[in-house]
Amino acid sequence: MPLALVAALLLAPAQALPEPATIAVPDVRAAVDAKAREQGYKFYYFHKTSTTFAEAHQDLRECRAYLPVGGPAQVPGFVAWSGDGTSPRRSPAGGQAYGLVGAAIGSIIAGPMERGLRSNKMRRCMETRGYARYPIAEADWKSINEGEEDRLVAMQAKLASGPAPADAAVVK
Amino acid sequence: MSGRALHAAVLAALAIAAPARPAAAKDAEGVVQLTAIPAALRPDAAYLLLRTSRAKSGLFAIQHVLLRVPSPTETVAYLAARQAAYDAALPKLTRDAKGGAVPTIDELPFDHRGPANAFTVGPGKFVEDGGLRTLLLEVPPGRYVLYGVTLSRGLVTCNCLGTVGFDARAGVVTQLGDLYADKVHGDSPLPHLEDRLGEHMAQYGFVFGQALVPATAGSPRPAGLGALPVEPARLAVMGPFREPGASGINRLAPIPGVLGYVRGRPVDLRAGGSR
Repeated sequence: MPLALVAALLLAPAQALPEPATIAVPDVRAAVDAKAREQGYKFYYFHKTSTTFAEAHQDLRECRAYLPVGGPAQVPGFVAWSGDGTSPRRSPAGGQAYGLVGAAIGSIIAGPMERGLRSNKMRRCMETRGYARYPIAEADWKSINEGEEDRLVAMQAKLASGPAPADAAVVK
Repeated sequence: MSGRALHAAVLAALAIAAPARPAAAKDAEGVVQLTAIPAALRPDAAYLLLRTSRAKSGLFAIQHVLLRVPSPTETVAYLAARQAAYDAALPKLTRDAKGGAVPTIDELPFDHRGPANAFTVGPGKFVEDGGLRTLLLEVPPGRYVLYGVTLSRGLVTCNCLGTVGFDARAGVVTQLGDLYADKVHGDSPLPHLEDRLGEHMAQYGFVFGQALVPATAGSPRPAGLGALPVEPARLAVMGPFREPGASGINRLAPIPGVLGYVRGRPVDLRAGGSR
């Protein structure tokens, strides 16, 4: 079996696809207001013309697999590389890596920073697969990004493979 | 300073300072970045020859991170040490849980004191100066992976979305080629990188990219290598892989005729894109 296929299977174990008609998503048929357009670099959804729900679902599952954060990979350090696409065994973040001052600063910026780091990962992974970003109201963004993982993936996949967005793509 | 600039400055300071490195952790065993070409090669060591870009972020050099694929023995030793640490910590973990859920072994912070297999390669020590600096490393024989990019001691960006590896044989200089690394959220002055990924991405940390121009039989070599045995690296397409210890993910830039991407997945172009 080719290595790429092995990795793909490991990254996205088989799972029954939900029926798109049963998935409720925010209505994105109308253009967003000026504020949502301005904040589109923070609050967006992915869309790709001509992708299927199944493809979008797989892409989102694979890309969201990069979101969990572990303890820092120290260099030099030991990486239990397996070569099969799975994570090196690494303990989750939990220790205080930045010291007390860092902790104080970190607690202030953790919210936006965490959202931003997750956004950066998703952008790099999804945009290299041909997806573009489109602005969405903050409340709607929360509804497709907060909650149970399978439901989030299904909602985002439905939007990603749905009708062409009314707004222009976010480019910044 | 604007709020955005302050935010970025704080993040930069944290990234440079962190993570704090335990004093007992070891350096990459057997990896020596040479400053002179040896008269003869050690028969039990491998050697990597490459040229590197010299981009910086502030005062700090942007460095490549290489990983040597660990042997089964090393992995077993790591797992055993991790299990032993967990077993030793379990009584306290159980007491602290006060009847609640006891952390699993995957939730226990663990710093392996054994030899490292991931290490930085920067432009600081070189055998030949120039716009690209020529580096010669003495390393353990094995398979190496272009793993990512960093600024300091914590891996900042992994090549999780696709990269290449190569074998380094004992008693031979393996010539890798020219390696480039820089910040890529905006325009980079360096060639070959995938840059201009998005200015806003830099608000949340460094966004690094890496590119390789592979060595060929005609690639420049330091004159001092003389008659030492040199062979171009034979690249293998690798990935995707996960590295939850990196703050960001990226991919090695496509290499014409070698590394391509189809729907975001790395493919070997020499094999018709099928791996």
